[in-house]
Amino acid sequence: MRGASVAAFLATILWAGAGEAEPAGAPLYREHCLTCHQADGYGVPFQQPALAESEIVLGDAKALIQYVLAGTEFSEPGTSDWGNVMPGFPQLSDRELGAVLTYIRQSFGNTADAVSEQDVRGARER
Amino acid sequence: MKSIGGFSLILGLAGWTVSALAADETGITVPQGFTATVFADNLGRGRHMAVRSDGAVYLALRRKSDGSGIVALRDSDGDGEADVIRRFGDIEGTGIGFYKGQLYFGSDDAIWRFSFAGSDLMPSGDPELMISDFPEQRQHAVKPFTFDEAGNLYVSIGAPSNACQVKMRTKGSPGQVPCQQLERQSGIWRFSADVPGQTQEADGHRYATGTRNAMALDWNFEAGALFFGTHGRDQLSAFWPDFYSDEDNADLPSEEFHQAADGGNYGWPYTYWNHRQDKRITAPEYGGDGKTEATQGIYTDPAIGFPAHWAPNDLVFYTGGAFPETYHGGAFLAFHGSWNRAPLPQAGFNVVFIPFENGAPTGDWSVFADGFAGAEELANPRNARFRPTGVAVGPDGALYISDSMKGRVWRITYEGS
Repeated sequence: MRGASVAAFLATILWAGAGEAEPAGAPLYREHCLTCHQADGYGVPFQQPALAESEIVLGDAKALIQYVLAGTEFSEPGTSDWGNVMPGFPQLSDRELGAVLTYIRQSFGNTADAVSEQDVRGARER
Repeated sequence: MKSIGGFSLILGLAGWTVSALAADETGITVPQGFTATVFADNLGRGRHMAVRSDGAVYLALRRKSDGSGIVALRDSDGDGEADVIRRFGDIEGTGIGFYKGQLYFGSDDAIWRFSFAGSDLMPSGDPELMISDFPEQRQHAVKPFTFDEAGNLYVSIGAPSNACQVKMRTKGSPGQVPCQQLERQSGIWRFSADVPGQTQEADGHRYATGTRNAMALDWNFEAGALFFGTHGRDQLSAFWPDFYSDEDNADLPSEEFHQAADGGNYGWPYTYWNHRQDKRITAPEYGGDGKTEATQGIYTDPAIGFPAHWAPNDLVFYTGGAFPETYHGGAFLAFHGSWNRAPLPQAGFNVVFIPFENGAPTGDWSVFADGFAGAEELANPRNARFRPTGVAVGPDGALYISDSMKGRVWRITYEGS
């Protein structure tokens, strides 16, 4: 019974579009982001912020790319309300970062422009 | 141990079904013969509580509410509900406790002490700075504490990371060797309870080490010993998918419950406890593969390994006389509830009772108060209706439970069956 309920639960968080291919960023989100920002993209109170309705996620793509590349480990103490720290993700490829950032900008009710591989390359070189 | 815990959990769930009606009124369920009432509500982001000898209840807030980080509550007409609610303290935090009639408070960077004139509900002035110069940290920055009978104050200083990885919370990153975060953090430090102006480096003694975030701690006067519950590490499957499935991560590692001893080592970050196997396992950051057992003779085994990620946030020994004999000398442990079980459903969100005999836990724990989360299956803890985060015992033997979502405080009494 437990296995069945777990499977059902997992199914609900997978892409539900009938016959529609899962976005390229979805498996990357599950691998790198989901535990902290949660399946619904709303984060955890006091620990990790929501991506849904987030100004950083929905704002300037270049700033978002650089934020995720750097992480928050070295942000000034006392400047964050969040108990946890996000690692930087420089190890992801330009294509992977573009895909996962597009995914978070276009999921959980978010509707912002996609982030391309070229956008990431440009932001990384800076 | 696992089967005993599992059995008790089933009993707890059965109790939930039976008393589901009661949950509608107070938001929680308690065993038959007990009554839960809402002592106060909507106080803010509640944390730990302290009850004074005259019954006044003080709640620490994680974030200031109406400009203050402490709420003082008094039930002046004895009807079981607070009718005087006052706020004070230009500081916010988690730890709070009375010692010799003075109120100690742990903000994330210091321990403070408030004094009172007589039985005044509000303190008589600004707090004294008791201990400062703790390392600055974001993760596990809270400073919960407790007192012994010999004039000592024990402060938990959490680990500033998840698993002391070279690269913070990064897939496949190994652990730092040695882990520098054990020097002044990831332990329980002993100070003098009476002396203002102490600093960690000059005056602190590292009493216990290898505790990732020992938020739940209390002194057991019968055993003459400190007991604590500590938060186990996160993200085994996210960082080490070759060794752990998401289901493994949802069940491991244990939330460890220990009797502490001076000089004790409780295993973080090099190891974790596996309550399925009753074994201490080498952490994957330190060469483990999910199966390799830790080196024997260095680390203490827990008295109880609780299910993973439940988040033990507060501990209190039942020193009152109002509950049945079974409860005397036992421990109430508040579990804030998980987030790290994702993508599997979250769990915890309850208050567990651990019976003790002759100052030692029997291991036969059970869920005492439940239903806080309000939903049978919860994906994200932000959707929990309530999350238990503090427990305290009043002079009349009532148990108080606090909540971090809305700032509700419950009072639990025993009416007899």
